[in-house]
This record gives sequence, structure tokens and C-alpha cells, in this order.
Amino acid sequence: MKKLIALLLTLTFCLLLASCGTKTEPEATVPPEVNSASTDSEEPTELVFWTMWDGGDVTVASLIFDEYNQTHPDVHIDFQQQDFNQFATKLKTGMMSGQGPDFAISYIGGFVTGLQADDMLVSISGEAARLGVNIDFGGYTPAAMEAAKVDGEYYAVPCDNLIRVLMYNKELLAGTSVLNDDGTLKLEPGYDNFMNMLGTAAKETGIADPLALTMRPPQLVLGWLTMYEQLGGHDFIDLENRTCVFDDEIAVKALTEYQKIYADYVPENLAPPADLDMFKAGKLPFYIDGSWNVAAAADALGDAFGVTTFPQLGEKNALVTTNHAFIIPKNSEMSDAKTKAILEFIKWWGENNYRWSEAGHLPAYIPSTETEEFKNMPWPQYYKSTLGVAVPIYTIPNANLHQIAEVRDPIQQGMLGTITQEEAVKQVKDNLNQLLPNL
Amino acid sequence: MQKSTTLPVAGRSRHFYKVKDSAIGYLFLLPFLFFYAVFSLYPMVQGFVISFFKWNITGAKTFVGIANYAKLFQDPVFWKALTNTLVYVFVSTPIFMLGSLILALIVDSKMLRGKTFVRSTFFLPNILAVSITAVIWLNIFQPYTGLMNAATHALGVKNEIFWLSNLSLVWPSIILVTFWWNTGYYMLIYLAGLQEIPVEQYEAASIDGATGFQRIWRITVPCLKRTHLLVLFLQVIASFKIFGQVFLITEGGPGGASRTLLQYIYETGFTTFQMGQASAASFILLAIILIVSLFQLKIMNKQED
Repeated sequence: MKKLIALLLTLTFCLLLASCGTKTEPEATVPPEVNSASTDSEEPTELVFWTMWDGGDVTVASLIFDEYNQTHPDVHIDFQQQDFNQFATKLKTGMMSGQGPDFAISYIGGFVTGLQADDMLVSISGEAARLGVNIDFGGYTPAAMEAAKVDGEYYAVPCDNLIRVLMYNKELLAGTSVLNDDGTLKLEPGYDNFMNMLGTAAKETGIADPLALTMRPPQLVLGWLTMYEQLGGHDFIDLENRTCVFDDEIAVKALTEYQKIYADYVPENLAPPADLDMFKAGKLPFYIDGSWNVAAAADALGDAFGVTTFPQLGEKNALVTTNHAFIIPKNSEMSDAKTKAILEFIKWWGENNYRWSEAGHLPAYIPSTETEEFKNMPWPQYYKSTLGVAVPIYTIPNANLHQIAEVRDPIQQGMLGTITQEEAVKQVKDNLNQLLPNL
Repeated sequence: MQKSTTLPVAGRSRHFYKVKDSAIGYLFLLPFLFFYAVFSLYPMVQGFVISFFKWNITGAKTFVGIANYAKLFQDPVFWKALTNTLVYVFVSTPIFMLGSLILALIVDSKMLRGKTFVRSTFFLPNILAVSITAVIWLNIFQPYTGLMNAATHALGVKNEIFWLSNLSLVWPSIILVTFWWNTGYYMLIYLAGLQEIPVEQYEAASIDGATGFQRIWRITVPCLKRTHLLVLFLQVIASFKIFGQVFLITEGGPGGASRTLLQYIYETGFTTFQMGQASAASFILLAIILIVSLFQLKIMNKQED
């Protein structure tokens, strides 16, 4: 009997402990800084920031955030890196439970418009006007801002343009007819000109497949979409009717021509990390990939490194881009002081956007590209003209077009040649028409 | 007389103590049951409820009945992922079982020197995180720069082998990675089983002139019947849940050829936020695992009988 009583007591104690834990948690979740921010002006306003950035992005971003914290003693931003694969889910669940960040990074597009439709986001332009923070919304990349706009209000502010560039190895190409005397590429717009340049380089360097270009999505999908735009295609997502309305002929032609580049001049089945490794090792003279790889490639090749814009292969110069952007989740406990501090930071980030180019990205705030600091950076000068031809990736509700299986799989199969380009395009269309009404 | 008065009392008290013991047992279980109910059972029930709704986490829930299940059966990506998973389970399970048994026999061999080192070598990959395993093998399998192709070139193979982008090589590559990563765990289970086989049986067989192979085939393999069933049980469930290494190494490619059912669930739930459809797919996976597990339990019970 004594044992039973002892056991019951232990159990009761355990349950008490457990219930104590659950009672204290909500209290702990009430951010004390909310009150202090609004009542005690000497205490810095504490902000929590979430991002999915990793690698070199985090290194550069941490330095920028540290500098902001040091130069703005009235604000402290807690920079929190989250796992890329879980970021969107964690952000959504965090917002639902009130445990989310004060502000965060998102890709501009379906995720932002989806959150806005669910009334989960603060209108940044609306709050900036109300709180008197003068953010120059007109100074940002117009296409990205258009994608961030819903009913005339901005729900995201881009912090960069994620673009693809053409990198090349001057040493491997030395003495060939594809290089000018100053080490720049002799490349005229047009698909045939690009193919001829690769053919000449292959012949004169003896490297049969001279171009490093990944066979992996999502870069593959972005390449196909860029080709589609350059050949005269336009946004093919009809959001109102939830259908895919692309021009089949252009879509097939874009995929066929893009696939021919692979078939003729890219080492078979090349994928990360071998594409970058081979370029860095001086085994291939050309490399097309995101500008975030510029620093790594330039470090490896030194003076032999060269970079230029993604080639114009069609009649129109265009590059389908993605953008990181700041968003502010709705939170009933958010004080005006905090919201204002976030808006001030977003404005400061824009004005100092050239700093973010150290991670390889192009600034989203265009006046930042006119600063001396940006002009003194060695590489972005060669591809900053991309800002004028950037086309934000087409928006689908709640997701990103280049990341969904319904698009990735057929495009990769079409590129690998396991299905025809016509079949790949048909599958993309059928898959999207089936998926879009469900999103 | 004494017997007639004391026996019923003794009987009652035995019953009382039996009930008391059970009650104490259940009381000990209560904390676990509480947390199991809160963190496993409740989410499971919620997941089942969600499978009848259209929901994207932040938006309103809309009841759609069995539409999510119906959509699944019309989705070619789902069927492809299910087929991939089933083929993987049926092909990889015998390989993993045989492999882990062979490794256990090697480690258990009396002739082997440095047993601890060998055992640790076989088991060590098992403690690696899936991300580390994926990075290691992604680099090993790379065409042009990877270790595997360097080895095949050294052996005289001139052409590049595309381990991860060739449709007929991608699954064998994944099986190889998983074998390297997981087999050490099942090897330990087999090792434990081997310790239970009486040495006398081997000695008697040796006296009767049995060869080494005969001793394994006639004594070791039959005596490990329960271990085989346990390993089969665990391995099949683990294989149905294959996700991390495939997702990180091939991302389901090329062209969806290595997409598993769990990756389909992940992408449906966390890329396009169709939580209802993802929940429906989860319950189909649960149903498949339940059916296979019940079948295995039935076999195990027969063995017991």
C-alpha cells in the first residue's frame, strides 16, 4: 500500500511538473521586449529575423546585420538561420501559432501572394505610410515590385535579384578567336552566334564539350523559362482561371533549343557540384550558373576569370529571375515601435544594398548600383545590365513554379531526352492544369 | 476444515495482488501514454481529419470529403512515387538482410582478428547523419570528378558512368548508399541472434563431418528464424519510409525516377501546401505498412505456434 501511495505521489508530482511547464510556456512566449519597446526608450527594440539563406549568403548577411546592430544601438536584430527545406513550413506554422519571427525572408511570388490572400502579411507600403518611414518603393527593380504588389499595396520588398551569368576562363580561351584583346568575349546576340562561339571554342581549345551547365532542376527550369521569354513567350499562368496557357510552339522551341546546347556542348549529365568543380579546376572554359557562384569561381581562377551576362539567345533580351524579399508577418502583439524599426531596417538595407552584392547577388534597390562602393566591386559591373531585362518568375498560388515536381520532372526528362520535348511540354501543361485548381 | 476456509481467502488475495500489480503497471505506463496520446495519437487523428479537407496551413479549411484520396489515384506523380517505393522495398530488403547476415557472420567468425575494429567499421556509418551520408555519396557518385568513376577508370572503363542520372543506375546507387549506411545496425541484431545459438550444435555437426557452409545453412540460418523475421519487419518498415538520402542525393531525379512516396508527401505538403492531399497520401502509406506488418505478425505468430 505504501508503494502504491508513493507511486501515486510521484505521478502527481510528475503531472504537476508537466502542467507547470505548460502554464509557464505561454507566459514565456509573450515577448517582454514588446512592452519595453513601447515604454522604455533606453532599451533597444528587439527584433527576430528568420532566413533560409545558407553558405556564403549567411556569412555576408551576418556581417551586414552585425553592422546594423552596431550602428543602431536603439535596435537589436536577432539573426536566425533556419533550415532551407523546412523554412516555408516553419514560417507558416510559426505565424499561425504566434511563435514566428518579427520579419523574415521569402521568395517573391506565390508564397507571398498566398500568405497575403490568407491575411497573414502586413502591407509594408501601408505601414510605411502610416508610421512615416519613407521607403523609396519606386527605386526597386520594377518587375520584382510588380510581383510583390497586391491591390496596389506592397507586401514584400526585394533585397536582391537572383540571376544567372556566363562565366569563362580567359587562360583556356587565350589565343582563340572568341576572346577580344581586352579579355572580353566576342559574343553577339542570337542563338546561332552563341552556338557558333561554343563550337569555335570547342574546336580551338580541343575541349569537345566546353560548357558547364547543370542538368539539375530548378536551374534547368529557370533556363527553359528564360529561353521561353527570349523567344517571345510571356507569363503562362492564368491565375484567374487557374490554368496554364502557354504558347505550345514557343515552349517546345525553347526546350528544343536549350536541349541542343546540352546535347552539343555540355558534358553529359553534368550536375552540381561537378559543374562548378570542373570550371574551377580549369577543365572547362565556360560555366553558366547563378551569380552567387561568381566569388568562388573568381577566387579559384584568379586573373583567368571572366564573367558576362546570360547570353541573349532569342530576339528579346530577358532573364527569368527569382528574388529574396523581406516580409512582415501579421502579429496582433506587434507594437508600432517594432514595426517602425523593421521598416527602418528595410529602408537601410535598400540604401546599402551594394553590400549584399558581396554574396554575388545584384541589388534590388537600383540607386545602390550607382554608389562608388558598388562600382568598385570587381565583378557585378559585368552583369549589372541584367537588371534591365529581369523578368520575375511567373507566380502560382502558394508555391514557386521552378520548384514543383509537376514542372521539374518533365523538363528534366525532356532535357535528358528520355521523352521528346513535345511530350515534356504537354506534360507540364497537363500537370499544371491539374495542379492549379488545387492550390 | 482448515483447507476449506483458507483456500478461498488465499484465492481472493492472489486475485487482489494480481489486479494491484496490473494497476501499478498501468500507472507506470501513464506518463508514457499521456505523452504518446498528446504527441503521437492526437496528431495522427488530426492528420486523418485533415485528409478530408483542403487546407494550406494559413488559410481556411474546406471540407472536401474523399476528394483528396480520389485526386491521389488520378495523380501520375503519386503512382510513380508509390511504384518506386514498392520496387525499392521488394528489391532492397533481401539484399540488406543477406548483406547484414554475411557481415554478422564475418564479425562472429573465430578466425577473424581485430573483431572490434571490423565491427566498428561496419557499424560506424550508421551513426552518421543523413545529410553527411548524402554529401559523401553525392561526391563519390559525381561523373567526371567522383571517386566511383575514378575507380572504374583505373579498372580500365573508359566511359563516364552516370550513377545518379542514368535511369537504370539511380536505384542501385541508392541501394548501395543505404546498404553502406544502415546495414551495420541489422548486423548487430544478427550478431545478437548468433550469440544465442548453442555452440554444442556446431561441435556436434563438426564431429558428424559437416562443412562450414553446411553448418551455416543447416544450423545458423534456421536457428536465426526469429531474428530474420525481426530484421525483415524492421527493414520493410524502414524501406517504406525511405526519404532523406534519396531527397538529398537525387532530389527524386532524374525526372522523378527516384521520387519516393515520402518525398511525394513532403513535396505535396510542404512545397505546394496541399496539406489535405499530403495527409491522404500519408494514410495510404500507413495502411500499406499496417497491412504488411499484420501479415508479418501473422507469420511470426505461426512460428511461435
